[in-house]
Amino acid sequence: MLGSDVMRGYNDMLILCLLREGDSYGYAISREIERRSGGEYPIKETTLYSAFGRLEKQGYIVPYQGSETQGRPRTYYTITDEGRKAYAAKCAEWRVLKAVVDRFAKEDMTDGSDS
Amino acid sequence: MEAIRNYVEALFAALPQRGDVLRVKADMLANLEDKFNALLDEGKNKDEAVGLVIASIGSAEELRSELGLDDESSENPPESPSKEVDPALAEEYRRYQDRKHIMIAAAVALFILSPFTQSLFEDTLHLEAFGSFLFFSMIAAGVALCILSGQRDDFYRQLFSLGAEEEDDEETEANYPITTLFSAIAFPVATAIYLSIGVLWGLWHPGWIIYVVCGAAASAIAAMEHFRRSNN
Repeated sequence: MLGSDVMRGYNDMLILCLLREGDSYGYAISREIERRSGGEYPIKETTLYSAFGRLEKQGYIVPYQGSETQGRPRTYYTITDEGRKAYAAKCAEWRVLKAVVDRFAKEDMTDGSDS
Repeated sequence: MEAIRNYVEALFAALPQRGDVLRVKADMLANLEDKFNALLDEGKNKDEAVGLVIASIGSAEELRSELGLDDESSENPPESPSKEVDPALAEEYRRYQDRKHIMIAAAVALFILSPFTQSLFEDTLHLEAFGSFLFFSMIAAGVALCILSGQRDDFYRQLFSLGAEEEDDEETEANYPITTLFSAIAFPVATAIYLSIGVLWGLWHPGWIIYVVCGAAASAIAAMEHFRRSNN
């Protein structure tokens, strides 16, 4: 299971990814993140809500009050064009990061030389 | 759900109650309720559901750092952002403290001098009624000064405890319970004894020593408590 320190920097990307598919709210997003990660990343509530706050300040998402069946008014989020751009940039960054880290992630590497 | 709500309240209690923080809290509560209900629907019992929900919330440190509150007060724990104390207010408080000390000193002086003025007017000037009047007036003025001097203390304390204690040598009452208790009891009792022995047996003259003894005892107790505190 992945901890939040490992995922630091990519929580925003996960949220933006889901919001690209449609507006959503806190619990639905956390449930979807856990489901898609195959249970490997149960995102903490504190992480999730602070990410919302950060994304909102950066202008990547916009909150609005939606009405919900269970009575409580719920804060929904919608992604902005800025947010879509930020998501694309994050994806590009991830591809580079992944390639770089992969080069150092060879479990059978014993003496540092590339065989 | 009550346990979850209490947990969230406790989690946010130490944070500044800003608009964005409060909204995060409200959202979090609404969504935790959803999660709780979903877990119940899955067939979990109530205790299990509460446990799972609380385990998924995360830590207070994480919340602080994620909300960007860390850089604002990284040097101070949340309970004592002492830098937030307004310097003008601190200055005002210091002036008030000086005034308070003068008032208490004046009150003690009035207590001590009152029998002498009485005997002065009665024995040398033979104005008995005026002597007694003056005597009781001085006692009353002393008591009034004591009360007035302490009156604004709580007000300032409250102001400061929002921020926290500014100066280390500004001891709060809570830290020195024995000293506070002793001062609160000893001086009124001393006054009662002083007045009783004075009125009943005319022992005004050696009687005033009780204040000196009381003051010395209070200082000794404060010093002892301070010493014990700082050794811990």
